[in-house]
Amino acid sequence: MIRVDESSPVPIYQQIVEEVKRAVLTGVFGPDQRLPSIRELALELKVNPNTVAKAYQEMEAQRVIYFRRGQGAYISPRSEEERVQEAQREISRLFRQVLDIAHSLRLSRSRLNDLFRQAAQEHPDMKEEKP
Amino acid sequence: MNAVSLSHLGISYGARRVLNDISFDIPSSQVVGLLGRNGTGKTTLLRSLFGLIPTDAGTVSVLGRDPLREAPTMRLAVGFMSENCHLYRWMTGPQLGAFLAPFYPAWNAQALAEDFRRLEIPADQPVGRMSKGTQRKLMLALTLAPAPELLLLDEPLAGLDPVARDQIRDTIIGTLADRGTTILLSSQEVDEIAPICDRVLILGSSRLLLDASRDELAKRIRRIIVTLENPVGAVPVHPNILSATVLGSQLELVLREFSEEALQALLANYKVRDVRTEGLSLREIFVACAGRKEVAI
Repeated sequence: MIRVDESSPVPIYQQIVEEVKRAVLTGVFGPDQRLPSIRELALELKVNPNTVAKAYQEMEAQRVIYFRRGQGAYISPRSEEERVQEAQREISRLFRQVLDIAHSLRLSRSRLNDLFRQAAQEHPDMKEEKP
Repeated sequence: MNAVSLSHLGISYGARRVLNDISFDIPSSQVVGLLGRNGTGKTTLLRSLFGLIPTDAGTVSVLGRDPLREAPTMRLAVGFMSENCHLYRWMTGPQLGAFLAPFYPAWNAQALAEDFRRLEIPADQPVGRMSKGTQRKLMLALTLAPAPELLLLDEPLAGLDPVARDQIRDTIIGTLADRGTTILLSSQEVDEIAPICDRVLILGSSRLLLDASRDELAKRIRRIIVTLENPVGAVPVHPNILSATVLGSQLELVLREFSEEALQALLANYKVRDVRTEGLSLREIFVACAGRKEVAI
């Protein structure tokens, strides 16, 4: 379920962190769910166990996961408010990418707004604001 | 203590200088990929660390020992897997295990049997009748059996099918997870070994072209995609530009020792519409470094 791209310039430990965060965000990993051991994940991803250990340390520092002594790593539970905040951060990040592209294509803000409304209108689940 | 320490190493074959002024240290538990085009001295370097080749300049220390003068004690703790199979061709895997075990106090027969099973090495086939892939897997299993502190692997994936390559990588990863072994491995399968390595060394003709941690690479060497207001006229020239490509009004540079200031200075005389920077894969970095005649990074 966690994937890393060997030819990507993004450090692999960072890719693992992002993948786990995304899996948490989309609900693939629930609260208090156990993550694979460092050895298991290193073998699955075919990466250096040091890299996986570094990713786990980073995720612990960011409170994405927590460790139970001698039992491994678990997904930290988060409040609904935290979940919404993280979802907003992810969307903002994607918007920034879109804006970068729009800028290099010399698209105006109003044209971009039109395009966004149109895309939302055409999207099956986002047509209208749900209660 | 460093597992490997090289200082100004030089090796010549007759009049030809194969390695010149090579210096680096490998701390314990680090995994280092040794890359370089054919004939750049990778095998020579690995063999000299195992005390198989006399050096004629500088100093070499492997696990705190001189590999030439203290070869017998040093080799008890160092596993060397050479590119060519030198095992007795009439012996089977288990026979070789029984033959080699008495030479090594830390020989782990149980781990060897486990590796034979995992690597699908047939117990009744003599080495001479094994495929090249099975021979390589057998060599790796026998190299790991004495529980070495340091592994020197010369082209462990060369000429193997994808399943065998995965089995070898899995065995290396398992060893790392279980024992934290220090590894120096040479390979041409750049993309496949990249995720295993903590650090990368690239050898050019007899010299070290690059020495950087995997995570540092993406920061130090970057691809810059510049879109200009007009079609590109002159390409900027600077020793840190590893390559430059032009497409209409777009200029693509591979820049080493990247910094925002250095980039601004390079583009000072251009009418720039848009600049994007991205990192490169290890394979692209290898081609950019080793594919050109140039000074060390």
